Amino acid sequence: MTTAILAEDEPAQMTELARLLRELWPELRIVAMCEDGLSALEALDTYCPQVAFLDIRMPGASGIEVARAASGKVHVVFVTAYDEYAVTAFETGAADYLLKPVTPARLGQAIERLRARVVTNASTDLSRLLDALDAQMLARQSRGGLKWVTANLGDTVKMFPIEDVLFFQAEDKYVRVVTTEDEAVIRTPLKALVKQLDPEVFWQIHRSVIVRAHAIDRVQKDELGHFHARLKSRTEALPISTAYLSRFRGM
Amino acid sequence: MNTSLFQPLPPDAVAGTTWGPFRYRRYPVFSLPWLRGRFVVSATAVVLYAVFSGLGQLAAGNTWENAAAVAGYFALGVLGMFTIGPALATWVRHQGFNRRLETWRVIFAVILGFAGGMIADAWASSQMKRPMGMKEVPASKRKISDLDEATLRLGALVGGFGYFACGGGLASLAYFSEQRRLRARTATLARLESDMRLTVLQAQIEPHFLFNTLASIRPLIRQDASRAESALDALAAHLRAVIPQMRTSGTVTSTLGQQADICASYLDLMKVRMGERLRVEINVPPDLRAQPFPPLILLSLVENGIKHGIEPKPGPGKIILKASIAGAELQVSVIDDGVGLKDGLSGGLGLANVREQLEMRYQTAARLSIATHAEGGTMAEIVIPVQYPPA
Repeated sequence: MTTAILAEDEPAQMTELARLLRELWPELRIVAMCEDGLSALEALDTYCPQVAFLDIRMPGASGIEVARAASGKVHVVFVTAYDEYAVTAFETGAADYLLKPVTPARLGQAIERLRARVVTNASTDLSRLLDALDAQMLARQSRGGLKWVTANLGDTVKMFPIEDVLFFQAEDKYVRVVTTEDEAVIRTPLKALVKQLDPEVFWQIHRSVIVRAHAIDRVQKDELGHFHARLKSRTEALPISTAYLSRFRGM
Repeated sequence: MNTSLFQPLPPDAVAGTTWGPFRYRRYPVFSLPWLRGRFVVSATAVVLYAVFSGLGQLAAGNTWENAAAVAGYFALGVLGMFTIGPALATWVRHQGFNRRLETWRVIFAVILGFAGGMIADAWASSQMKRPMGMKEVPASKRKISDLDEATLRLGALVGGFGYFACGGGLASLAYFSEQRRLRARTATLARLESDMRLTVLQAQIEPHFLFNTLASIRPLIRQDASRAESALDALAAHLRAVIPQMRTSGTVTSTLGQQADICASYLDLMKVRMGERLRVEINVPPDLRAQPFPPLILLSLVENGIKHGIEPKPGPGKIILKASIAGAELQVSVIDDGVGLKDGLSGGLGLANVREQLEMRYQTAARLSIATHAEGGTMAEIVIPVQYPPA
């Protein structure tokens, strides 16, 4: 008998998927119905199912994260509301996908394929598909534009428009966010920030510094031969490491 | 009756100095408060000048009665000239014609008033001649050189311009500049509002929202037909509220009640989708429902609460929408017990637009604050001035 888990955070959809599966694939045994990504990860461990139907956007852990844990062991079927962008990633055929709302006809096709695969037990490596999906999620987020830097200050949240930020500087566990008149600390590591910032606008000039290129007034060399960037509207001198110095040649 | 004429203009529609005696310029040009303030300023200047010229008459040996008559007629004539046109234009504005009609009638009123002012001035001048001891000289007996004649004409021309400027000409220019500024302001507000509409619309027709909603409604048709019906109604009502409509003019006036209803239909849909997981509490007192409230910004905050607070959080979540009045302020807040705002970089939550709209409509009188709630989650609060005391 084939075993399956379902992961879907919206109960109405979960019930419906379970009903359709019971109707179209009576031999399938649904061993767990999970309302979030974390319990789906647990269920993978506990039941080692052969099939997993995964919603992509879920609280706790996304369907993509759950699929990573399942890759190579479980036949994954994504159930997604996403549009054609994401669908192109599935065309590789590594995993099947169902578009919401799920129709019995389309689910029937997926079941046919799953039955064949379960028999041969050829579950595929999903890492390339998952990387592609991850990249698309990230692109989708940055298309909305990174517009704010959010810093928790005790009970309130301080929000800086990204246009106001002059530089980010890592200090111990925190990162300082500095604008012309204000500053705050955030816990997002510099490494993660670099990936989300526009590399034309913000330049990394040191292991611990990302600066708005337009805010730089001049570059100075001190007695020890170290380079520093001086800003137009702040007094700080920001260190420039030699590895990043090439950006300033010809400035 | 056009009541907005009794309200000060928004600061960005005001031109020129507004300190001290010129405070009246904060009111619309050709409004009653404006006319009152302008009259006080011009009357003070004219009376002072009249007193000085009366004193001049005394110094030149004229009698008290004559000096007073000269000063009095002078003041009457000049004030008439300064005031009749603007007063007529003010009367026109308070009739509440549409803008095109109003503009033409205001111009006509100023010209008519100026003509009336000329007559008043001519009458006052003729009255002043006797007490000043001047005699009428028949034109045939006047001895005036060509140069004097030219100088007099130039003087009359310059004086005429000056009189026209003070007698409503400058005020008319200010009136046109005010109209232009108000139009620009309306355009900016309309742009911000349509930007917001677009942002909200993007969130609504985002595949995640739309297809998940459809996928949740689909099984209801079989299980609970009446709930499916009401869910479809809520979806239709919701899309109708957020899809831009062809509108003929400017910005729509919306009330807190309408905006709360739009949020309620959205939250109804989210309840259909999330089931027991989502609890909703809407507490907008009935007497606050008529308060004017800018469109869609409340929905934007509620969506943020769901999308960035409750959806990413495993387990149940609650969203509270409440409104209250504190002093002269209307406070509307959206509270969720979700994951809270993570620090770091975040996408456009539509908050920039919310801030801009509030600033445009209420200047410094409005605030948007975001706070991490004590029991976790996030609270977004909008504070705007109360528009009238609730009944």
